Amino acid sequence: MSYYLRTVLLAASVLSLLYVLSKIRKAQIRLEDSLFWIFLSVIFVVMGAFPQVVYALTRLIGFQAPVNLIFLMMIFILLIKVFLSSIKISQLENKLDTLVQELAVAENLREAEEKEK
Amino acid sequence: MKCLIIIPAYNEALNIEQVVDRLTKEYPQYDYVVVNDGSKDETAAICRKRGYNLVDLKVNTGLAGAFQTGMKYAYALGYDCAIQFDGDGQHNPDYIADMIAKMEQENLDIVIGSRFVTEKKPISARMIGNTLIEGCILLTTGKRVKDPTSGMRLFNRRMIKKLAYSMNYGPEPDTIAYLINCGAKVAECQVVMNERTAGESYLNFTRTIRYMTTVCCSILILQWFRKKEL
Repeated sequence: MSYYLRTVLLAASVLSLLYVLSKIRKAQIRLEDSLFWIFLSVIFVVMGAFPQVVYALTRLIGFQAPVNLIFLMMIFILLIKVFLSSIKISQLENKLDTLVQELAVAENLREAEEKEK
Repeated sequence: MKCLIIIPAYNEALNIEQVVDRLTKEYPQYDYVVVNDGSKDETAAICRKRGYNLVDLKVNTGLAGAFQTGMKYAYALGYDCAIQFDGDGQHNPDYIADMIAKMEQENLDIVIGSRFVTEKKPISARMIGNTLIEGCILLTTGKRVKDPTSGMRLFNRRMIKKLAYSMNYGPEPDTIAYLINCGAKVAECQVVMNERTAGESYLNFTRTIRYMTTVCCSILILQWFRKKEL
């Protein structure tokens, strides 16, 4: 890994780590949701600080260059994250629909009851 | 059988009065509920003013969401069957009795108000999609549903419960195909439909393509990964 890549990796991951932590501080993200981003930044900090880890992994898997490994890892992790987010959105939409529906039905039943009185 | 007519209405201010008035005047024996799906026009105001039985969704949840609301209502009030009925005047209440009779006689789960049981399906651009979906359903269930895109469908109590409280049971042909494979008894009943009287159809070219893709993929592919249960 070139020094340039290491520096970028390190700087970017440290900055994003700080950003996530500031969001936690301002209570803008739930702790359980922030864990993913914290782990991710820490992993990239480690990779930037100790490239030996990346070299070892690269040899193990048989990649030509360490940078390929880093890119591929990022893509995989992000894809999985996007899919998990998509599931979450589906569930949220479903919950929202249910809520709106139950609310509207309850309102109708209440009005009908009042009319009977 | 106590039957509920579910009328999902999204921006149907121009049609809703005519549809509901006809029902209350000519068919007072059926209960109905208008589900306003967060319309941007006067639909809800008109229903309130006229004293219609209205369930008013504050936000737009789509046809599936509005219909599901009606199903929840039907289930909560203990209806034996519920019929999906368009708010734009395309469906003809004259045929509801036939559909209910068929359901009772043959002990069916779903009766589809079909345009093409005794009538022949015309060969036209509008029917390409219809025929394509018919083919998909035939291929995956072995059953011929001649008018799968008909929006006039009658569901019994068992189906009401299922559709009211589960995810991915929108009132679309893919649900019909899936339910057939789950063992639901489905049949068609000849009806005549009217041309839309006012307002614009929801389906334009892009939406039609998207609709067809979703429905066909759901029937041909995704269906096999769903848990089969009734």
